Amino acid sequence: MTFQKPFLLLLLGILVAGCGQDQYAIERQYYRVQQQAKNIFTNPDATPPNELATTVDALNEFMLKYPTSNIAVESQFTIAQLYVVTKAYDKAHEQLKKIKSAFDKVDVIGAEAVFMRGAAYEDEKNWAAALEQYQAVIKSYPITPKGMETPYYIAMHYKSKLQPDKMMEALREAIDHYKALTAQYPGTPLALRAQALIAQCFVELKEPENAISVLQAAAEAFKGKVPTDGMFLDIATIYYAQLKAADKAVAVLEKVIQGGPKTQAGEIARRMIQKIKEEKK
Amino acid sequence: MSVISHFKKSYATTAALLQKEPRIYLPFLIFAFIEALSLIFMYLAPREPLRAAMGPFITTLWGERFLHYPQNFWLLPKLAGLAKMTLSVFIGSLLTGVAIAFLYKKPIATAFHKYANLMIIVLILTAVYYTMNKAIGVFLMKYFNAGHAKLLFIGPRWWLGLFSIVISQFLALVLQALVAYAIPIMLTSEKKFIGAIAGSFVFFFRNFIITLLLVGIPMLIAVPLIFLNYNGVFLMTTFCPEIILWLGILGIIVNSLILDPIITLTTATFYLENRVVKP
Repeated sequence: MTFQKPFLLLLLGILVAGCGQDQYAIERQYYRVQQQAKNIFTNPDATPPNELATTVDALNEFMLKYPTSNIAVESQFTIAQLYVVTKAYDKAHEQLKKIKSAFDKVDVIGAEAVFMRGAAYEDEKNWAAALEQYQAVIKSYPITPKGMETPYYIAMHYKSKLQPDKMMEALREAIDHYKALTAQYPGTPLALRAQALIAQCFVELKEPENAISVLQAAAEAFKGKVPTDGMFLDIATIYYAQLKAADKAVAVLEKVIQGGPKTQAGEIARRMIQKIKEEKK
Repeated sequence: MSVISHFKKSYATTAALLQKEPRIYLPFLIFAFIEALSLIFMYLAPREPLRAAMGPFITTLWGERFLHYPQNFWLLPKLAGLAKMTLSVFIGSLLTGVAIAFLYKKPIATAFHKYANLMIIVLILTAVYYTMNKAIGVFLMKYFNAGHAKLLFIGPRWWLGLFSIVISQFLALVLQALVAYAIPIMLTSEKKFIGAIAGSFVFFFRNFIITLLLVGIPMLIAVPLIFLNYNGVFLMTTFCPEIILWLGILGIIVNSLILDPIITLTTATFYLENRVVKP
């Protein structure tokens, strides 16, 4: 009968599927190990030392079993995070140094490891050592995602500690750094990201006009190359929230709707206009 | 005869017939087996070698993340539901026809000869249910996304949560009740699918309450399962992701092995005993 062959093939596929050590099987094993780690993250202070040791061993075993899997790197970072939450900072730094040297040729991983060392020092309330690590990220890995966000992160740290002078100084340094990156890599997604960060810095410095002009310049430079609706939505938000210029905000939002009435950005713009009109009443 | 008497008689007659001819239950067993096979297939879709065939389909429609553990379990109920709909149209329709043919002591060939019409009836029912369900869902989303805080004094959390499920079940009840007699009519007359559906509508409105009881009361069996499926994410994170697969298997046992046979056979029995036969 004609349906016998496809049916048998289907049965064979079902029987064979799930037998091998494919990516899914690796992810399933990692999930189970992660659940062990989750218990420690939930209540690190109440974690008995042997539970931490067992979980770390399980994560290391996973790394040894699947060294080339992309999840293997994550398992090593999880060990570092476990040491940080259980306040075993020396072990955390050791682990992160190990990750950095093991993945020396992969900038993204190196940047994550060094940044995490900074975060661990912050947890230890050692800002000087943390800043040293963050500056190493900026210097050694400037074009990685972590490298890009670190200058802004440093400024926000000072903001959270209610140190406005240091915050403003850090923001100015961040702006200079991002401008240098924009000049070095013009017309690239990196330059676009850098300009978005410059605008964020100007907003924090309470210089909304500068933020708007940076966003407008970026939107013009990348017109037709990337979707720029997000930048116009940011411009409208700055007009409304910072400059209290509701009419200008609405004008920008109406342009977004005109550009794409049925897009997600168009929908957001419509809702923002409605909200502005309601608040005006 | 009162409604309750009709109800009890339909169940008693169906039980007696099943005892006498257990083969009436066989088509439901076959469908449940096929459905279980499809569920396992969907569960194994992210695994090699099935991933090669299913991967692009899942990635295009829902995203690549559903090919990874444990996110594949979030999509599994939807995939199983779509598979069940498809199987119901192409295989379930025929098997239902065969079961009713056995019940009516007609040759199995009766169902096979009317396969095209049986399939169209189930296709229409499935399409109408799916479309109406989707339309209600889209309306609610658009209504609340437009900024309305409440609908009939009730907020979006209730409408998009519990009420959606209740509306969906009510829709299933009404639609199933309306076409409950279409297949029995088709197997006992020369009518095609349009005539059979029209006849089912007429018979339903003449026997409105008893039909709703015959279809609705068994549906209550599925309520605990609906509740469990509604809390699928909670169950996944509390126990293990595989619980979604077990719920799927339980769903097949409840729906295909208990609910569907009860509704199909009792309504078919009721029709046989209460139809008006033209001389």
